[in-house]
Amino acid sequence: MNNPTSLLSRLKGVLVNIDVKFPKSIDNNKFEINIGPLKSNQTVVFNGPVLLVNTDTPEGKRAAQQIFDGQDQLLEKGDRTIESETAELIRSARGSALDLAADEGLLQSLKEIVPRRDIGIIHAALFVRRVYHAGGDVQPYKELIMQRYGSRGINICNLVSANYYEDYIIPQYEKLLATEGQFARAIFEDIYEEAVTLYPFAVFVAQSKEYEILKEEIVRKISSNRSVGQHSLNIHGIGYKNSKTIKKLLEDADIRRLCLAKPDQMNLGNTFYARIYF
Amino acid sequence: MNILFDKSLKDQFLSSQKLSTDSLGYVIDTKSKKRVLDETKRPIRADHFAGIRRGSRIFLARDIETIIREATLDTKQP
Repeated sequence: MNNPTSLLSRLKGVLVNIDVKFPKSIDNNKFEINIGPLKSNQTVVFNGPVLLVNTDTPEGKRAAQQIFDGQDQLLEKGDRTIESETAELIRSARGSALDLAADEGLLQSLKEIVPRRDIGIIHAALFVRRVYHAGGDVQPYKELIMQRYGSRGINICNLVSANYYEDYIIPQYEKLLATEGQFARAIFEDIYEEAVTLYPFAVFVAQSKEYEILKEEIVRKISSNRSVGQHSLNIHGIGYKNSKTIKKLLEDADIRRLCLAKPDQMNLGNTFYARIYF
Repeated sequence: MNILFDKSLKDQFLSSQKLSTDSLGYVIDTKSKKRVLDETKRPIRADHFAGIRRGSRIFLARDIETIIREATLDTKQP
């Protein structure tokens, strides 16, 4: 239910003895109040659909306190008083990134085979993948996945972003179901856990990982995959720097001497992907 | 209409809403001393506190679930 008193009247009621020039009207749907230190000598000013409150000034500080104290008078149901950076993440997440429809089938299939505790993570990881496909910056969202779910969250995020659930995990389960029948689920649980914690079939290159650590991971995974009859390994990276690191790894003599054929290499937008054979 | 505030003002905002922090860094109601909960009934650490949604006074955390949920709410609104 909308507050019958206009927002402008309510604002005038909340901002007492503040030197501010009120506009004739305010568009309730577009209007926003932005409170914080501004690198200017503005104090409390209307700037289009935004009321700027500069807390680097005594007048702005007083206005900020009055707005915080009077927020219940100003806001209507569903409105927020929110820290700016979080508000920006919410704003950037709107649109196609929220269109779960494309991933609904995948999520339903996974609900039947992966541990229940991972469904929330996969839901968030699919959201991050859609942000990426929409051209958005995924880093802040990945940091929040790390904050909420730890390294398991980031591992699942990497697997989802490289389509491993569709291309590897679900097919593995279906293969097991065909060959192992009622035992498939139990065998799959082990394979899945290994895929999520160790991802033996892939290496994800990130700037936070040092070159020598990455090289060691590749050499180790070549060895462990060989021992179970798996003769390829995928290497993924996003962005120019990570692509450059992958190319350097592919040229590294210690890795080349373990490989039997030329690696596959592919650019998909900002993503670089290579597969080595051994 | 939303009110956005810089993260440097978080303590001031918490205090204006009669909220404070317990010894483990969780946001509490200053009067009842009870931890406030987000929409999924989880307590909120002060460093993850993001704000309040008006209505039944929904406390917001800066976390991935909240961001997806709030963005979905915004998208559903006409």
